[in-house]
Amino acid sequence: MNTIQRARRVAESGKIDPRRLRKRVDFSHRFLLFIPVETRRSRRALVIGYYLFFLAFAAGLVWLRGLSKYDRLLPMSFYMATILGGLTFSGPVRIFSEWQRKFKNGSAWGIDPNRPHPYLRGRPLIEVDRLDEHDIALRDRAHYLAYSALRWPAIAVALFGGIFLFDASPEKLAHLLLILSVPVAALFFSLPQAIILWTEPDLEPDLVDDPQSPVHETTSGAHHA
Amino acid sequence: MRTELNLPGMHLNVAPRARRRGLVALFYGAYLAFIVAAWAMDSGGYAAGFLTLEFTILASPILGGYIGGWFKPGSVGLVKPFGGNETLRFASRIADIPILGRIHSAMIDSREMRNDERDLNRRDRAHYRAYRVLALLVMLGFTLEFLNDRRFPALESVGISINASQHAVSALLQMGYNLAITLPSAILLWTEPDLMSEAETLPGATQ
Repeated sequence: MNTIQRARRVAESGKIDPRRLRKRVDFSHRFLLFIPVETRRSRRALVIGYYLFFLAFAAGLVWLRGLSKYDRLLPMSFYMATILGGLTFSGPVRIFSEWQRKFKNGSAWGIDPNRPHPYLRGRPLIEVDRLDEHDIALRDRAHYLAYSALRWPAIAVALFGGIFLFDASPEKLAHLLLILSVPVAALFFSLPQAIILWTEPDLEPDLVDDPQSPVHETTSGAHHA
Repeated sequence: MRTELNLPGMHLNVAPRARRRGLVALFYGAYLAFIVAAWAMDSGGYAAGFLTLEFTILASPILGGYIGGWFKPGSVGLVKPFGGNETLRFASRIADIPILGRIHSAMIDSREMRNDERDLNRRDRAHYRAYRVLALLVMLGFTLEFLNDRRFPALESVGISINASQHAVSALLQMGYNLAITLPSAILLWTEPDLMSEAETLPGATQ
């Protein structure tokens, strides 16, 4: 059962206003803030924009506050990556973790789906769309590609670290590690999402917008609602 | 995945999952013992850093994956090289180059390198899991760095000096380095079910 079918089933059960459901399931995946991410072209522009923004932000921080505040960029690398999705429910990329997904479903601490979290008691439970086989394969592949790309810094350290850092003082070494760790952390948290946004083809038109629209169309032209 | 570990003068059947898990536990146990000893000898962390580099480069070919052999790609490692198919494509591209093509094709045995669809799916899943473990490690490092701030000495108030927490971050970095190279292979070795050994797969072995 795909996302659209699941959304329709939940809407038909009457547990939740379909308009709200449409906003949850589709709107959040097709827009980042106000930027549409339906076409690959716009998503690629978004990825480039994201990294340029991070670069400008880092440069601005160093310029305005000095190098002593450079370490503030480490947590920022995580927070800014959540904009792209994957790590939290915000952003166009669907959340990666099944465990976090269960949390959002109302399961008690992500363990037992029959015991809703106290915070959600009395509220309608929302079935969060599950990852299908394609989503899981895409997620795993994106992580493999990101991992393969990020192993090169590790190999570079193995090859050149001993040569250049053998006689470095502890302060100099710590300073160098801090400078290197910010770009690595920025890529580490955002690269899988960026790969998904970059490689996924254009999204198909939304079926949930019009519940009366025909679902199946035969080759003879007859429509079945 | 190989079912036999071939080291000089030693052949170990690792077809049963229990043996593979034992090997993975031995690998990380040895690394942990070395790094603890190195930190005990040199509190600056230089010895541990050097040892991490050497251990990763010299011992990880046993597990395979990213580093699958000491001199020849994929010659020792239990897990097939992750980039096997890409490496083969690269080899076919440079096959026409006179000297380079000859050396490269002599080094690579395509049967040992090629990944089928299942291998690729398992490889990708192992990387996703490894990524999550490393993300936890990175977050732990961030938290320690945050608590280590001299203006909010949260760790000092519970008796942990700034120096000690800096050492903890260094040790996390070192472990992260080793795990980044070896963890996907270790996850594959740990999770793959019992395999048929090479003796069992030979024709007529059941008769």
